[in-house]
Amino acid sequence: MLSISASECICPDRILLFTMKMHLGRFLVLATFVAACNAGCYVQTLDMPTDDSPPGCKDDDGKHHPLKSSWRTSDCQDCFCEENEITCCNIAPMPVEFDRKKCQVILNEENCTFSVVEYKDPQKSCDVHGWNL
Amino acid sequence: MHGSCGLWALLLLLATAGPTTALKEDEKQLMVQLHNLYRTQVSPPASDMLQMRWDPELAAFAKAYAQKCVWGHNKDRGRRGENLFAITDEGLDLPLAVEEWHHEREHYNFSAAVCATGQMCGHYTQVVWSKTERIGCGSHFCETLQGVEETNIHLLVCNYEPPGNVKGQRPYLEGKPCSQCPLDYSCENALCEPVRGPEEAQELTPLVTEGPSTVADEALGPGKTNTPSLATETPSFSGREVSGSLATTAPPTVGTKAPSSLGKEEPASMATKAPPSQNAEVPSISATATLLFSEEDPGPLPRSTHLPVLRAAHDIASKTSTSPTRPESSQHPTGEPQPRALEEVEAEVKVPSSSEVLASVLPARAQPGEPQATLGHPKSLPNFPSDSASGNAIGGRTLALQSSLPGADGPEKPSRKPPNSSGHTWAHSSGLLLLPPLLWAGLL
Repeated sequence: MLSISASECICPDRILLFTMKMHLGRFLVLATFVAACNAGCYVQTLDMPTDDSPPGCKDDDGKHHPLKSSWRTSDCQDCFCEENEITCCNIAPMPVEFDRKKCQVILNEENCTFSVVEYKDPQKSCDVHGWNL
Repeated sequence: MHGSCGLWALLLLLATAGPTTALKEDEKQLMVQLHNLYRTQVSPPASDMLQMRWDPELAAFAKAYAQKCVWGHNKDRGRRGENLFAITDEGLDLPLAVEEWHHEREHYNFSAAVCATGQMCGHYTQVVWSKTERIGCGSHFCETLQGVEETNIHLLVCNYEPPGNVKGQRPYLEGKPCSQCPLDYSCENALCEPVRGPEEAQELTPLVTEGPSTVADEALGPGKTNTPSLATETPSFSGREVSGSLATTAPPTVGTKAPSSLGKEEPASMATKAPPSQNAEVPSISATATLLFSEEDPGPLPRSTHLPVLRAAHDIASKTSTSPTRPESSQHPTGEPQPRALEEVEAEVKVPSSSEVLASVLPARAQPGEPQATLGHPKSLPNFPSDSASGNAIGGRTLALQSSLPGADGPEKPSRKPPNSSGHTWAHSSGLLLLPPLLWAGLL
């Protein structure tokens, strides 16, 4: 009766996730969810700096960031360099209150925003009432 | 007798508990309860899960940020965890907010410590981050927000300390509940609760005198208060096994709280929009508390008022017919009804006002073993309105309240669908339906 199939989720690219198909008699509902990875906030503790290392933070890509500086990652995270740690938060509010039967969420990576459009007609946007940030 | 009392309580509620005071106070407690409820229901079980408590400073901090109406996280949050929820509609539904965060659990694989690709888990893991023991939330109605076109949004900001979501760590240690609590922590309803120190005890004193539970919660912070605040009690209920006892205990607590303190404090708090961090002490509690949730917004609270009633109705109805909505819940080893938890939680949250009323009305009636008073799902509502409700209804409501509090879920509770806006609507209507019977009960 209820089958949930997960299609691919390309986290780095943040494209989407899974499609849930619900067969209810003759009624077919398709709901697609798109989400970014690691939404919310997190803390990354850094190794103790060595004497010769400049003050600041080195991210996973090996890039150095000055202490108290902030930067935006390619996966829509705003990060901040604190003492011995990096704190990051997702900047794309995730729509969570909308008609999941009719609509799907799509991430617009260019501007780190989600849009919710009708599954059948992506040209039509759907009303969203709630978001997780 | 009960009837008259009930009526009195009801009227009181209607007259005083309005949208303003009590509810807001309750909301704070509910937020703590909701978090603790979810924390007790993690699966696999947690051995080091600390009890979360309200922190006035955090709340003031969160409130201050909420008032800025920024569509994004607080860049100045420092070493604080942060969860945000924004919603349009009539008002802010706190249970819904926490539930939405908690829903991310579906995508989180604890054993592998990974989040399903492309999914969000950070809000959930923050909610159940074992080392996080302080929470403070604030909300604000924003006609406009920086960074988006959306208008008229209720923004909820919750900050946590210590912050969760430390990269490379799991949200908690798996194991027998409380088996790995820190030193100076005791086990309370499957959560590690700090043992009060002398200084804390002193702080508490004032609170106690001040009265009601609410105050105690906030002020105290760590310790457990004498006054049974929802927050503190909640945990116990959460224990599935405990369910029976819950019923008995819970009610009283609720009753105490609501009415009194809230009223007084709210106003004060409103006045003090003050910046965070100033008031750490007990006395400040009222202020802090208010700060947090006091909204100038028109709408956020309203719901709660209605909801409560609904819940009660639900319970009743649910007894007859409960239906497990969420498939996943069953999976948990513990047999904890996670979904249920949500429901219950919701119940609690929404219940506040009503619960109080109910509590006051039928304090003694609480029936043990009724923990299950689940909110059945909407469909059960129809039955609800009936008169039968009046007599038993009351009891049922009481139960509902109690059960709702902490995870008083029986293992087998049916789960309810995550609240959609539709659900709320329903709730409202049901609430209205419920009123007449309640009044009748009171008269009789």
